Amino acid sequence: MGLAPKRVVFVTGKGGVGKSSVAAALARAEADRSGSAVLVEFEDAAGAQRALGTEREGVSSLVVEYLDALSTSIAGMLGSKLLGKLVVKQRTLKRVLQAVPAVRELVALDRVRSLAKGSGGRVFVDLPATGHAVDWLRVPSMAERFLHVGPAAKMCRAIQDEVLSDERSALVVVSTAEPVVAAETRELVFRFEHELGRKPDLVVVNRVPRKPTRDELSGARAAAARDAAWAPLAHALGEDAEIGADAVLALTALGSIDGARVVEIPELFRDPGARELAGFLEARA
Amino acid sequence: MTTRAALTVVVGGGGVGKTTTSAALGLGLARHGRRTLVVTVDPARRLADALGVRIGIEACPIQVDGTELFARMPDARGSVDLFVNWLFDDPAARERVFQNGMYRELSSALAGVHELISVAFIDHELGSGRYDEVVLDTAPSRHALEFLDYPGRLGRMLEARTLEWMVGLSKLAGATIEDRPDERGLLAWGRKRVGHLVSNLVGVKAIRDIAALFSEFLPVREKWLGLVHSVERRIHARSTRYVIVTGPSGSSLDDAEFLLGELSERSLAPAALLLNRAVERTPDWLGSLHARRAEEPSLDAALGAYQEEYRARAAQTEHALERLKGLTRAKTPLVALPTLRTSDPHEILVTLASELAGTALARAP
Repeated sequence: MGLAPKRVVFVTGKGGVGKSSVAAALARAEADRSGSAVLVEFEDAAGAQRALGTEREGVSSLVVEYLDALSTSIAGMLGSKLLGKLVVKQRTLKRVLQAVPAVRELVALDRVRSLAKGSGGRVFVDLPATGHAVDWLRVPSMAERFLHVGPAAKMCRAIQDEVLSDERSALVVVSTAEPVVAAETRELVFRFEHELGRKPDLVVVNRVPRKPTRDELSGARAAAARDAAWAPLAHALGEDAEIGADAVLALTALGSIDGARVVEIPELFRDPGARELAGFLEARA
Repeated sequence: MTTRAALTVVVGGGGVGKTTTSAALGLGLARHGRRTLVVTVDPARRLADALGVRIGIEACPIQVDGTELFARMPDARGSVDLFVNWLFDDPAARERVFQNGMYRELSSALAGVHELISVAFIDHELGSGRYDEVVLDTAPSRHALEFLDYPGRLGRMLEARTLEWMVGLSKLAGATIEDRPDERGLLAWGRKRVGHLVSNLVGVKAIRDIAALFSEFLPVREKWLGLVHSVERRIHARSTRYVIVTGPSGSSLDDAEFLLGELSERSLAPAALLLNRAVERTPDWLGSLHARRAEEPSLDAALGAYQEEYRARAAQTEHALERLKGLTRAKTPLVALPTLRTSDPHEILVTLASELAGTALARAP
């Protein structure tokens, strides 16, 4: 899909647009092609795993847990698993870590880094929705500025070099063709560019509605004029023509995103399976 | 004590129409003559524009069909600063917090910030006497209910011992453990050992910044804990209602199930479950026109597409309702709100408000 050969693929978008399904479908397509893929999401959001459903051959999916990721990261910095566990178990520190911001995001991205180095194949990350995704990916550079020196600062730098750089990772943004959602997606892309210097590699527009043709509209109006029974159809087509026109505008706006390819998925009025969605992505890319 | 406003907390995953539904709930309450404020945490700019609300810390009046309600859509950064202003009476302390490296780099829009904003706004607005009803439209996240625990979590961190430990870290940083033999015993040793490790990991300057920020909180601890207790009382108040908004898709339903679990973990019950974008059945006109499709061959494809759409939507809705019924107790109202074929927010508001008018949610608790 043009995303190769980047090792890590970040997927984000406004909540509810089907971002987890797209992440699962991309991992599914990759495993079908190369034999393996890793699908990652954070905390108790198991949406991508659920979207993968039973079609999981070759895909190792995992949900990164905070305390587990934290002890792994600390162990990595200290060079000792035991010390990592010890630090996380310490009661006072645990309280502090539950409330201090940024640690959560940092250790989760550190886990992505170690997965990218592993042998499980390319890593597909289902990021949090919209603005939170930008904040997540900003954390390593912000934390590095704040920390400046020491092993934790080094870890931040490693995450940036090995995971967040243009050469190492691709960015997929998922949207729908609704005006509000498309506007928010544009805003998200703007923030990615200005705050992270990153542009999306692929924009997936999910649930694109069917647009009534001109002939259908005029045909239905003529039928309604002959027989009022056809009026509700003319009315529905009229409303859908408006929604369709909005969708065209939204698609044009999304299409003008610099450098990104846009893939449209039609509205299916149901949840497609990972392989079915992968088929749409492949066919339209 | 002044009369406090009643609180309605609206939760749900992303993209289910939570902000619009919250505004519709607010409109319903306002129509009953209640002075109503809707607070949207983490608002979408475009939606705010469409409703005529300026994002920021001010409450804006909205007029819908002659009814007035107020909306407040705070942005993350401005709200945190506002909160710091409220918490610290001492201008010098305030300035130190604003200048602190950790606050500057890490305070905006990170985990916990939305929770903080929710908490601060709730307490402030409920007690202001300006409103009878406050509808809180939480951040579109499964973690939306964390704001209920966040003050307590921070409160525990502000316990004297934890703060002392943090402040002690900065002195420890750079020194060896043996240099500070003033604490004895295995626990103290363990705490110091961990402190030592941590300060080595993140560096002396960072530890000093963190410790400095934390020590600013010591003098305002009582004020903070007052807020914590006030919010905790409010959360469990009988007049506080929790509403879960969901949609027919599998992921929205997963979110609803998760949020139901989050509520019951806190011994809270939802006042209602709202299923947005429901389609209960194929409209009559479509069935009869489909039977006559041979009369208008040019409309055959359109009729087929609508037939298919309604069949798929109705199946999805039926499945959703069944699943939601299985998740809740029989007495929890389950309201199916229709799919609206329009993108005009005012029209959606008015329609949803009248759909909700028949339910218990439209009345003051």
